[in-house]
Amino acid sequence: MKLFFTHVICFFLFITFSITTNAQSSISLSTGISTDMNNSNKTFHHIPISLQWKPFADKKSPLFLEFDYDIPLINKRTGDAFTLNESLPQKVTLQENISSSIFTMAVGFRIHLYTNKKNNSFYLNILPVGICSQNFKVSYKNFDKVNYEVLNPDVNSSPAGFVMSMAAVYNFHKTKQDMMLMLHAQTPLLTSRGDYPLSYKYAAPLLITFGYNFYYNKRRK
Amino acid sequence: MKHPIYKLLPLITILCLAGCSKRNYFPDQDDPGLSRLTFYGFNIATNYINDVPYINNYRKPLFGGIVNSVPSIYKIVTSSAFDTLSISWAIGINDNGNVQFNSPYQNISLLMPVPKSFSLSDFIAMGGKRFSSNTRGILINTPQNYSDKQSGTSDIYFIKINLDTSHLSFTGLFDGNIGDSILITKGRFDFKIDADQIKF
Repeated sequence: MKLFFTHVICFFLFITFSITTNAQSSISLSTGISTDMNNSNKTFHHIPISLQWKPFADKKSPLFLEFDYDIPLINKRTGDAFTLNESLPQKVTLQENISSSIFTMAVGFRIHLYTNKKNNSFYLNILPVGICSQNFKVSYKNFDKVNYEVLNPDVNSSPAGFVMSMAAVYNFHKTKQDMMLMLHAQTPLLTSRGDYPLSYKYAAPLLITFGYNFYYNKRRK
Repeated sequence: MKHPIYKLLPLITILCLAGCSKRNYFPDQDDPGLSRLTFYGFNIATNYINDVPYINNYRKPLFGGIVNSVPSIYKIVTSSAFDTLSISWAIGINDNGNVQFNSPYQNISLLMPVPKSFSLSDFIAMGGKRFSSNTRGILINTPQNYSDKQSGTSDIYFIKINLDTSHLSFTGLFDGNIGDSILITKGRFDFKIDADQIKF
């Protein structure tokens, strides 16, 4: 896993330093709410923080980098536990809490779709290559580990792999500060799920975020 | 003309891949050396004997990777008013999913008195029931003298039993003691066997 991330970071550093910046470069920072599309019955929810670095605002140079971190909201489920101890109820239902944090780095390009008279613009972001790490933490509330055994327990997992994503972005042009509204959909991890059956699947977050575009000036190298 | 060995290459590849399957042993973080309590038909059984983790045996067929051993389930006909239901499997000390050959105990049997008319449907009806040690027995065998069985009492809990068209699946917990010297704790099993292996 360490080697995998080393290669990934090297890849992104290579992309980063091979891009020359110009006067129209910008950084977009946005946040909002996300829901998971892959766990239909017990959906994960997150508070996403999305950072996009667009070295070129030029429509001819649409490449950009995106970093997303999804802060988990607790996902509550139930699990059954059983005991042989005759002085205790033979079965209890436990509250199972799962938190899933997600970190994604992706490289993509923007397709300009529309600009109106007020200079508001609409873009489609395509991110065909992304690296994603999902960290699932499972706990059972008030679990008597000495006397009870959970049947088919969920366990922690930290899978990582490739993802693809797509976003629709609407930029509101303001005199002092541009704002943006983004609807972003991401695939689940494109890796196998392992041998042990878990009640949860890899998350496929659907984000809706609102934020600002920050422009900065820099001479062309 | 190609050598005939080339025609066998796909078959050899398939057989090699089939030999790569892993044992369904998933360590329980709360109970070191034991597998998690599951109802997935993993054919895995683990328990402590005097705090040493034990696991059921496995076999390695010529083609097919690792196959966990399934238990023997049969009814012992007795001359008393009840017969005895026996569920037994081979065990060994668990070394991260592998079985140590020099284990002091090599077989475990759960014993339950049942009516003479006991049938498969009666066994299925045991699902969800917990049986106390008042009448339940347990046997373990030592390698030094296999016929020299040591017997005691046990608690058994059949958490779930399910019969589909061809398989009988059952999951449960057990513990027991043989005198004061041998304590069997935290036992759990998850078996899935062919229904036609049941002979009662």
